[in-house]
Amino acid sequence: MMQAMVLDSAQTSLRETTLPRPKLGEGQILVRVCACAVCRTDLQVADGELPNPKLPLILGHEVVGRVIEAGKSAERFKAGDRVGIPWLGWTCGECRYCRSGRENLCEKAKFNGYTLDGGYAEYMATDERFCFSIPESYSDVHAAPLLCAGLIGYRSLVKAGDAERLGIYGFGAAAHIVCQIAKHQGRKIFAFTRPRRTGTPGAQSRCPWRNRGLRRHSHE
Amino acid sequence: MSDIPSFPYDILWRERTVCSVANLTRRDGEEFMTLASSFPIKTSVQTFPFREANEALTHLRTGKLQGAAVLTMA
Repeated sequence: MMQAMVLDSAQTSLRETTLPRPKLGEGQILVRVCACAVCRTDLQVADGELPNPKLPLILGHEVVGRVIEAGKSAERFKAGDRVGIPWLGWTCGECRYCRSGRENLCEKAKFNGYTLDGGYAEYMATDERFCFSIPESYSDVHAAPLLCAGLIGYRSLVKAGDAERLGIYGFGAAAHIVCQIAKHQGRKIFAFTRPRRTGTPGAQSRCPWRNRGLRRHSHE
Repeated sequence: MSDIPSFPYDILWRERTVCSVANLTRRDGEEFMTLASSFPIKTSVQTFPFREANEALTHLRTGKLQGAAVLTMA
C-alpha cells in the first residue's frame, strides 16, 4: 500500500489516502518518490482549468525518485537508480509529430500528474523511456524543479536561437533557472517584472540586476 | 492566462517571429540534464512534507513562496 494525495474533482482540496501500490505495466518502472516539485500547472489542473484530467488523480510531474523494480521489458534502469520523471509520460510514436521530432505535440500524448497519476505519492509507476538520469551533484530536492521549470526554460532558450540578448518576462521558477544557463553561455539578460512581486526565487542571491520596479534591468 | 497585448507592426517587421513552447521532448530532457551536469544550476526551493501538498499549492497560489515548492517524502 502507499500514501497519496488525491484530487477527486476540480476545485476541491487534495485528499490524503491509502492506495494500493501501482502495478507495473510493460516497459514501466516502479519508483519510490523522494521529492516532487509543485508546478503552476498543478494549480491549473486542481482548479479545473485544463480540460481532460484523469479523475481521481495524483498530481505531480517534477518527480525525483529511486527505482524499486523494473517491469517486463524495462531495461534502461535497475533497482536503486535515481530517475527524474517529467510532464511527458507517454507518446504514440507513430503520428506526424512523433515522427518529426515533435513528440511534445503528439495528440495522443499522456502526461504525468494530468492524464496519468503523478508524484504526490509514495510510489509511482511510469514508462521508463520518458525518465531521465539526474546528475549526481544535485540533491533530490534541488533536482526536482529542473524537471519542469528547468526543461521548459531550456526549450524556450533553444527556441531563442543564438541571440546575444534575451528578455525574460516575469521571473518565476523557469526564469530563475534559464537565466543561469544564459549567463553561463555568456549572453546578456534583461528581466521585466512587476513591482512588489513576491515569491521570486533567487532574486537577491543570484540576480542582483533584477530590482523590483517597472524599469528594465540588465545583467551582462 | 491573460491576453497578449497588441504592439506596433514595426516591432515584428524584418522577419521577426513570435513563438510559444508546449511540453517537452525526451531530447530536451537529455540535452538539459547533460547541460546541468556541466555546471551547477542553483535552484531555490521551499520544502513541504508531502502531506502538506494543499498548503504548498495555496502558497503558490497566493505568491507566498520563496523559491519553488518541493514536496518531500518522510
